[in-house]
Amino acid sequence: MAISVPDRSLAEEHIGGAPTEPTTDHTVAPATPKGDVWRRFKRNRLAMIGLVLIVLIVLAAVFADFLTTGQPGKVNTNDANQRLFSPGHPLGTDRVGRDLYTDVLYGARVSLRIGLFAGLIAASIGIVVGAISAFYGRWIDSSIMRFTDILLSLPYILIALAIITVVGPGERTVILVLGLLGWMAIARVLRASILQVKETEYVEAARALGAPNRRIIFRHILPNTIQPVIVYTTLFIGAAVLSEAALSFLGVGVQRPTPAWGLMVAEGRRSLANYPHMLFVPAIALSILVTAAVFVGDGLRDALDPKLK
Amino acid sequence: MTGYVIRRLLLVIPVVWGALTILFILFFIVPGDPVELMAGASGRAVPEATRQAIEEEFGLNDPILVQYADFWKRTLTGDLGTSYASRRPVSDILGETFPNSLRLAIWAIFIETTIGISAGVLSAIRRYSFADGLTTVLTALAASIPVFVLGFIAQQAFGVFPNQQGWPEWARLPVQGTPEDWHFFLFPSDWRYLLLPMLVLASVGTALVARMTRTTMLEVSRADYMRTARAKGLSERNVVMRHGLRNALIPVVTLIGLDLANLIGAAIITETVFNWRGMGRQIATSIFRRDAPVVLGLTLVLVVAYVLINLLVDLSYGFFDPRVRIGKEKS
Repeated sequence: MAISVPDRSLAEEHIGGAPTEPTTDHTVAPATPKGDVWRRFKRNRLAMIGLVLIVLIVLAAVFADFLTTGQPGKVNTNDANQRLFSPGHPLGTDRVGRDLYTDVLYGARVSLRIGLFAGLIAASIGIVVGAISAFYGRWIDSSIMRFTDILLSLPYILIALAIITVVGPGERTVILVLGLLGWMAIARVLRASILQVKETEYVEAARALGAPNRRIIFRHILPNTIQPVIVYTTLFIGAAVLSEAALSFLGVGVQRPTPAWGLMVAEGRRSLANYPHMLFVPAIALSILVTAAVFVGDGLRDALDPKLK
Repeated sequence: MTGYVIRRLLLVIPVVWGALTILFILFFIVPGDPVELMAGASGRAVPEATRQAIEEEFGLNDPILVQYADFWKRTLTGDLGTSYASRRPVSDILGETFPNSLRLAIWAIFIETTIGISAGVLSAIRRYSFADGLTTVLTALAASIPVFVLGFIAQQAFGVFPNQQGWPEWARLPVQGTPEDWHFFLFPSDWRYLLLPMLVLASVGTALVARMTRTTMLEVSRADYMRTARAKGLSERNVVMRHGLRNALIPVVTLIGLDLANLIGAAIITETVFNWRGMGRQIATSIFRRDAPVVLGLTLVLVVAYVLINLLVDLSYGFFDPRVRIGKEKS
């Protein structure tokens, strides 16, 4: 029975880092550790639902050209304010006549790009910084950790606003800003778990056998510490997609004509009283993606955590 | 313990210094001309004499390092500077907006803790019940909808719609504005203004707290000390509250402390949606106006508050978990 354990890595990281004792998969030696993870993941119904939803969204984004003949972000004032299920516009149109069905499909591309690339940037920086901090220790570690403290103490939305007013809004800026401001938690989680694994017997054994540093890091330490990073990054992707909406609401997110789900939600709020579908259509798409990311993240955490086997 | 507190307090200094330095640099490279902002000429050319006078007064022509030094010199003497846009002292703006934000935040945290923890405990001890399912669905929803959407839906459902339907006065809530009169700082004479912003601001945090409480409650329920407590013959109520909850709350308290940064972010949005005269709304408008002194001054307060509250959170572990009562080293 898969127990849903949300925010577990969060908890551990916050109380000063005691991630679950990584079991030595090599010694326990299941036939294939990867297959094992997948088997456990598969048993988690919510996680599978999330995965299916994400796959569907990705397919919609990839095949948007085939699923609609409309052009994304195309203004057509003759067709403005069409309601749901109106002829030619299954999901209606917005205030200036953009077809919501088309925009939601193409918006999936933008929202996924924002989530994935911001996640990629955050994870890369987080892994490098966290690893350096944990391996080198001493003053390097403490100055890096102080720096993350500084960034964490600043509300991200505030720096994002400031940066975006400097470099100008747009999809690329949103990705950069979210990625550059999202790595701190990942770095801390990784650092905490490396510090633990460093002290384990199997690392000591590898060292005693005269394994070079590189081998110890890549063969023994990273495979056993990367799990919380994967989980965290999945959850961060959902959060990044949501943040795009917040930035768009403040007017510094993705800019038209590019459709992004958060941007569409932010636009739809103006018509909430008379044409609620303009808000709800993109908002539901956005919520499904965010929820799916959370489900998959939780599922991965349970599947990667051998303690719950 | 005292040594630990002092060490932690000293660590506040580099964090505040670093945070403000980052913001200072950001604002120094922000395009846009504070002089035009001050002379109030949107688009029109500012007379050269006026420009020089203003630049002289605010030291805008000095090299960045001199401006930076000046900034700290006056900040450390308690002078937060003057707003470029309104020419009012930042401390005045702070005095107006800080209490309003603090009130909203205190109420939001109050809701987060009371409702969040109760919902989490309930769904943990009645696992897989209807209440548990409802909590799971609601927390998933609250965590996946942008805050401003919640705000607008709340305004629509509790303000605009009842108004259109001509419902009686008590059944509709105002959708904008800040209460003017407060009793004992926290209790507005007109509650109806506080209700929606408070609930919307608390929504995400409440969801997180509920989820976290449920998880940790389930985790501690398997602990040996819970079995011991039951074996001692304590009442179930005592077992859950004194032995279970108290241990389960440690990560929850940490979450609340760290979630403060998110709370501040959400406050910027919530205050903008509800036109609440607080620091969040002020910071958002000031960033757009490139009003650096206001942004820096208000952020200083936010950063200090954030760091100090997290210090309090760390110290509170001792209350919840006696094992860490002797100054725990935390990186």
